[in-house]
Parts: sequence; C-alpha cells; structure tokens
Amino acid sequence: MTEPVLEIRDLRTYFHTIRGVYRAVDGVDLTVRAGRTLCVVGESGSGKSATALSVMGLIEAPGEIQPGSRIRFDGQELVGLSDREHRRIRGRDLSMIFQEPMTSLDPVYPVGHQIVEAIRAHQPVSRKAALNRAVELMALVGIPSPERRLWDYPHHLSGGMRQRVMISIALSSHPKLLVADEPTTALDVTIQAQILELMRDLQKKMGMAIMMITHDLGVVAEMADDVAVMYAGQIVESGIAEEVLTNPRHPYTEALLHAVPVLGMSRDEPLRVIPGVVPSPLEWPAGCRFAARCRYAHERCAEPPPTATVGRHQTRCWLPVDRSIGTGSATRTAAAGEVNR
Amino acid sequence: MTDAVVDPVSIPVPRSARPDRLLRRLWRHRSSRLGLILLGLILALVVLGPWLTGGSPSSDMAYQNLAASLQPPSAAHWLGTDQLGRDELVRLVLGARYTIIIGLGAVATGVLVGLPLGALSGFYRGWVDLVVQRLVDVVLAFPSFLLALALVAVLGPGLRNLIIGVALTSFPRFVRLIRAQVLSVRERPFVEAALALGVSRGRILWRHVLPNSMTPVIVQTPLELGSAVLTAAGLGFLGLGVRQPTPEWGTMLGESRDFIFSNPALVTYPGLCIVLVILAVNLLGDGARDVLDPRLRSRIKIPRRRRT
Amino acid sequence: MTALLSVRGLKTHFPVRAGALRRTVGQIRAVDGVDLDIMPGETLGLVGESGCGKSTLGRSILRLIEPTAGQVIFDGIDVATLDARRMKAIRRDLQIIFQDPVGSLNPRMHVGDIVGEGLHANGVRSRAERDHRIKEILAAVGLDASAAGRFPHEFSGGQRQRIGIARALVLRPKLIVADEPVSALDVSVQSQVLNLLAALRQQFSLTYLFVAHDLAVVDYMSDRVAVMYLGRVVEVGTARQIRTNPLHPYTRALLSAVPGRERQRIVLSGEVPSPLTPPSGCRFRTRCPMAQEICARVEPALDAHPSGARVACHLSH
Repeated sequence: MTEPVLEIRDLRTYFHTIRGVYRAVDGVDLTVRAGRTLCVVGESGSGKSATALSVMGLIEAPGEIQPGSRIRFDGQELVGLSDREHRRIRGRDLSMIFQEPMTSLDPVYPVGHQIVEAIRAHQPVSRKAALNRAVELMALVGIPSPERRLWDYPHHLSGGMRQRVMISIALSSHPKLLVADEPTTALDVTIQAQILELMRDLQKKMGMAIMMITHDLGVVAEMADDVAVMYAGQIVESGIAEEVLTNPRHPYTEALLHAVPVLGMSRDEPLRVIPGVVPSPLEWPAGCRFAARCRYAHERCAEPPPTATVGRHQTRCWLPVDRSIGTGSATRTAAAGEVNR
Repeated sequence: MTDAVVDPVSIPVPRSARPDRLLRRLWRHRSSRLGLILLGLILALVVLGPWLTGGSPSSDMAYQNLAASLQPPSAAHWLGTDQLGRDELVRLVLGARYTIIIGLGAVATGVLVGLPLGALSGFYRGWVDLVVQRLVDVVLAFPSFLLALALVAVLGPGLRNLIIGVALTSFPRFVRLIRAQVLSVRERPFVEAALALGVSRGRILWRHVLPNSMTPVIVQTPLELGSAVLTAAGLGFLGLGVRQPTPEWGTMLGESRDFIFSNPALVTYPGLCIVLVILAVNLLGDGARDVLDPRLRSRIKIPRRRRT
Repeated sequence: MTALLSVRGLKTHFPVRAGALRRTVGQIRAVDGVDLDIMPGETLGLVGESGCGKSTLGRSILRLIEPTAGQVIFDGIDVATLDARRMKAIRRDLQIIFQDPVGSLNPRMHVGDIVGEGLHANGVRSRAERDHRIKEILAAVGLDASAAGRFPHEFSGGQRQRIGIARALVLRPKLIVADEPVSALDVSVQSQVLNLLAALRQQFSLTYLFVAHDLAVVDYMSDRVAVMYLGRVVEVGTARQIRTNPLHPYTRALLSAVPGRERQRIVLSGEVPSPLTPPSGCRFRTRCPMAQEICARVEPALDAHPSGARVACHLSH
C-alpha cells in the first residue's frame, strides 16, 4: 500500500442559506493514496461534489468549511489557506476536471491558447516552449493532429475532444492528484469508454493519484482501486473497490448494487427498490441517516452508528457490529418495499 | 445530455406569481417594501386628494387669487402660493391624480395592446410575427418622446390623448418582452406534452405558455410606470398636458419655470413629486426582479465552473 | 399477428439555414430511412448514442415533429399524413413519457389539472368524471389522491416522473413512447420507476417503444431491441440475441463500452460523423474496425440474418 497523498479528516462543509444551514458535507474521512484511484460514489445531494470542491478550495460564500475539518494534501494542511496560497497549489500539484468541459473552457480563446496559459501560470517557460509542450500534451491525450487543433475554439470540438483538452490542461503541471468530478457523465458510452481508458493510461504513465466523483457504479467498477460510498453528507462504506463491490457490508451499498439492471438480468426479477427519498441536508436524521429507507432498520439505528473496520474495509452501520440485528427483520421491510413499487 | 446529475447543493425553490403571495414576498423585500409604501402614499393621495383638500379643484383654496400670488409658506398655505395665488400644496395633492392616472392609463393600455400582440407574434410565428414585428420596428424607429409629442400635438391635449400618446411609446417594449418570453416558453417540454395529449393551440397558449411568461412583465410594469410618468410630465412641461387650470405636475413645473430664480420652491415641489414616483416604482421593480428571478436571488450557490 | 405500429422508410430532416436570406444550405438527417415493427403487448427497446436520432424517431411517430417522408402505420392507419382533426382522435392511443421530470410538468398547474388535461382535451367534460379518473390513475402510479391538489415542485424527481406517467396513462393509450424515462433520475429512484413501468405494462396491456441510451436498462425492459446509429437502424433482434450474439460491429462496440463488465473491450476510435454529411455507403464505416472497400460504396440494407435478427452490415451476412 502506497502512502497517502490526500487525507481528509472530519470534513464539514456547510452552506448558510435563507432556509437554514445546509450541511452538504458532514464529517467525511477519506484517504487517497499515491498512484491509486479513489472513486467517491453517491447520488445527487450526497455531498460528493461539495467534498471535491472543498479539496480544491473552491467553496465560496455562503459555503464554509467548518473549523476542525482537516484536508492534508502532500504534507500540507489546506483548510485555512488563503485564496492566493490555495491557487498556488491548485493547478500545480492539484488539478481538477469537471463534468461539462464546455463551461470550463473559455469560449473566446482557442484551446491552444488556454493550454499555453495554464502551462505558463505555473511554469516559467517561454511562449514558444509552452506551445511545444501544449502540442505534446494534446498528442498525449489523444487529440489527432494537435498542431492544427491548437487554434480551434472550444465550440469546434466535440464533447469528448473538449474533455481531452481539459485533461491536458489539468495534467500540464504533472499534478500529484487529479480530482475528476463526473468527467464522463455528459458523454456517450463509447466516448466515455475512450476517456476512461485514457485516464487509466495516463495514470500509468504519469503516476498521479485520482479522486473521481461519480454516481455510476459501472464507472467505479471500471476505474476504482479504492471506493468510498457517500450518503447524506457522510461516507457510509469505504475500502478496496473489488471487496466493497463484491461483498458490500452497508445496506445502502448493497441496495444500490441491486437497484441497477445489469446486462442479462431477467425481466422476471424486479429491481431492488430503495423506498423513499434522500433526507434534506437542512435536517439530517439524528441516528443513522439511511435508517428510514433501510430494509434492515432496527431500534438501535436511532443512534448514530459506529464505524466498523475489518482490514481496510470500513462501514458506518450497526449491522456489521451486531449481525443478529439484520436477521428476521428482512421480511418485514421487504413487504414495505412491495407497497412502494 | 442524459445522465444530468443535479447540482448537489442547489435546491430549486418554487416561485409563484400569484398576486397574494407576490405581494407578501414583495413586502418582505427591503427595497420593494419602501417602494410599496411610497406608492401606497401616492395612491392614497390620488384617491383621497379631493377630500383632503376639502372639495373639487375649483374650491376656494385652489382658485386663483392674484392678490395672494407667490406667497411664502404660511399657516393658511403650508407650501405657499403660485403665480396665480393658488395654494401650492392643494395643487400638488390634486395633481397626483392626473399624473398617476396618465401613467397608469398609459401602462395599462401598453400592456393591453402589447401583451396579446407579443403573445400571438411569438406563439404563432409566421406572417403574424412578421407584421407585428415590422409595426414595432416602425414605432421604435422614432425617438419615443418625439412620437408622443407629435401624436398629442396632432390629437390635441387632454387626458385621453395624453394616455394614448404615452402608451404608444411603451407598448412596443411590452410586445418585445412578451414575445421573447413566449418564444422560449413554447419550446419547453410541458408544451410538447400538451401537444401530445391533443390540447388545442389556443388552450396551450392560454394555459401553459402565458402563465409561464408573465414574470418579466410583472417586473417591467412598475418601471414602465416610471417612464410613463416622466413622459407625461415632459409633455405637460412643454404645454401639451392637461388643460389649464387642471393641476398636473409636469404642467406645474412648466408654468413655474419663469420663477425659477425668484421663487425656486415652485419648481422644486412638483419636481420632487415626480422624482418620488420614479423612485418608488424603481424600488418596486428592483424588488420584483429579485423576488421573481431565481437567478439573481441571493441563495446558496457554489462555484462550479472555475478553471483551475 | 399484425404489428400495432409499423414504421416504413421514415425520414425526418431538419433544414439548416444560413445567411441573410435564410437559404437552406443543408439537411440534418436526424432520422434517415427507418423501418420498425412493434407487436401488440411488446416492448421494443431503441438504443443509441446522443444524436443518433432515437428521440427524433419517437417524436416523429407521434408527430410532435413532422416527418419528412415515410409511413407510420398505427392500428392500420397511416398517421403520418392524417389531418389535424383525425390526428387528435388518434393521440389518445399514442402517448409519450418524457425524460425531464421537471421541465415536462407545467410549474403553474396543479397535479390534478396536469393529469386531467388529456381528459379535458378529449371531450371528458364532466368534472366529477375527470376527478374520478384522475384519482384512479394517480393510485395506479403509486401516488396519493391528495397529490392532485398540489404543485409539481412539491414532489421529488421520482414522484414527478410518476405524475408524467399518470398523464400519459389517463387516456388509456395502446402505445407509449417512453423517451429516456429514467436517465434524469438518481439510481435509487430509477429502479422504482422501471418497476412501475413494468407493472403498468401488465396492468394496462401496454405496448412500449422504450428509448434509452443505457443498454443495460433497455435490455432489462425490452422484448426486442433496435440499435440506431446516425439516423438508421443498424440491428434489430431479441434482447437476448443483441446481448449474447450481437451481429453489427457497432452493437458489439456499444455492448463492450458498458462500464464495469469483464470482457474484451472494443474501444471505437473517433467520433460520430455529422448527420449533415453522413459518410457514403455504410454510415458506421469511418469508425468500424472491420471496414472494407465495399462499405464505402454500397449502403447495407437491414436484412434478415439466419439467427432471426435483422442487421445492416455487409460483413455479417
């Protein structure tokens, strides 16, 4: 196991709104290790994107990282850094790519210009050298005939090509960590396959760690070395991807895995339904936040569950602690699921 | 595209343009509350004016009395008298009537003409759109004040003609506003859903498109009221306002300009009144925009699209 | 058995205009010669990537977009050429469920009015009768009767999609075009809606044209699957055949691109060409790993394959 590049401890990112305090991220612990890919998976509203933005120092008012939160990147504490200090780290050792590359690229400049700018923002090189480097980078991310593409504007490029440009910008400084927020969600499956393969390939070549935010368990299976499942502002389960995906210990992870159809599944088996909806970040439930939707829920779940650890596999649930709870109640809640169908 | 995942921390807050809730929300907004209070006071003057001043415009106090002309403020005449010895305060209070009626009348006419034209133009497109848009282009090709001036000069002064003249300058803006809105709303998926159900076009326009196109009109209306009042006052100032001796702020301003150095108060009062109305409607308009336009509302936002 | 819906040679082109005179300078061939049959009670999945024309095809069948050429024979009647009055009568049998659960509901109308609008438009004038049927259909999609008096924004995404389903079902249609009905929903809610659609298919003997980009979802929902690429259907077969024995190289690539599966991956090079100027011959040849000289010259027809499927590829026959 390699050493950690990013260690997040008890991260709390709150947004102060007219309707109350929106606790988007509420006590997250995460570790990204050098050269590995951590996928943070969750549904909308789980706080996964706010976690990524907190790492990047891109939380702005009315959002605020709460005191006591720690984000340790490459030996340096990021919480409490000034905008200037954060900017120096961002784009050099820490880069990010977004879901929609069109809005992240400036429509009035050619893409080559934007790559050159990114290079020169952090490296003292001449324009000419930067231009050569831009061509290299574009070739690296698989943009055909990069010399010609340099002077294309973002709207000339397809979604997949734009995401490649964004990746080349993100990688221009050889970052230690690449944060990718749903990088393929806006793309078609065949293009998604290209981009995912490119990211794996580049990781092999350049050795950076990747923290990838996604809602798609298929993407997790494809990309992740490690996985963290987020629900209602917290990590409910984390561990080595293969282990978590094949042997989930948290009822939410388990339900999520059975809620999506997989190829070849018979029509006669109905999909697992997770009843109800995600609770509101304005008022998280007091105990286990998943309890109201959980088929194994039990009186004990009214208290905040402890984190059970087996090797590197961590679960925030009463169930693995006390296996006897789960049995017997399954039938009752299965009937409840029936009603909700 | 497909798997659009909703921004994790943006909760869409529903808004409604139903009048009762709208008023309540406007009241809660600081600047529009001030606007509402000011406008309420002015409207109270409009309604209660004759009663407050003890009768009709021809009552004793308002009647001219050359012997008592240009008097300074006193117990009998709180703001003094004008060049014809009429009580300035009484004339200001009574003048609110005419200025506001012209403004409201013009805006109402503008909406009544502009709304259907714009809605039909944007919804049905084709030749209707072509004709309406050329008409609007022609009207907008003239400087608006000049157009109102010319129209009133041709039709002759008088309340009705003033309203028509001022409305002529404001209706094209309503046409454009509502047309742009209708053009975008008609492309929204719920319109397609109604088409799939076999709902008739007229009903789609009435039930689906119009109710969802009204927000900018509601924001624009108070601002238009301000510009209508200003235009009306301008016409009055140039002597094309209501007939003498009817008090109207613009006309009062025009008449007292000869005394601007000897008796500056006489220009100041009506001027101040006009400024107050404009201020009130602008405060209200700003508030309405904040309340109704979700994009400008200060709520939680998160910087998503910054380059790193 | 005769098909409930037969599409023959359907084309939907959009003119591209440019310049001050708005002259037509080209045609976007969104749908460019599609043949399809859907049997009564069957679910036909329509899968393809964005821009392949699958949504346009669904809308052209309903004439929400006017097709340029071809026939849409529904229940023996060619609806592509019907006049407005007779088309309106057909609409109650032909309904659609939309992708966007927020945008497809009028935010200023009560749920009851949204669901009941189709009844009103189709001559159910009695308020009591409408209310009764609204209540009935809301219950069928798993919503409480009290929902009728509330506004769409008071509901979650999954519930809103149920409202959209109720609106389509209230007229008791025979065929429903489901246009990406779950792709805007969260994973945990997707399964609720998919299970509901499957249950309603039974309960109301519905026929679905199920349009989606997610092959696993289409495979799960459909009896047969049609794969579209750049305005044409390249392969039609049973869900099982498409999944286990895909014949067209594009179907194979699509299948291998589904993330998270253990298999030999075919990563296609390049991107989908513009529907303004589709390649000559086979439209997939510019990205096809097996393309031959004949593919550039001759456009392959959607021919029957010994396995029972139909495939448009020179190399599969």
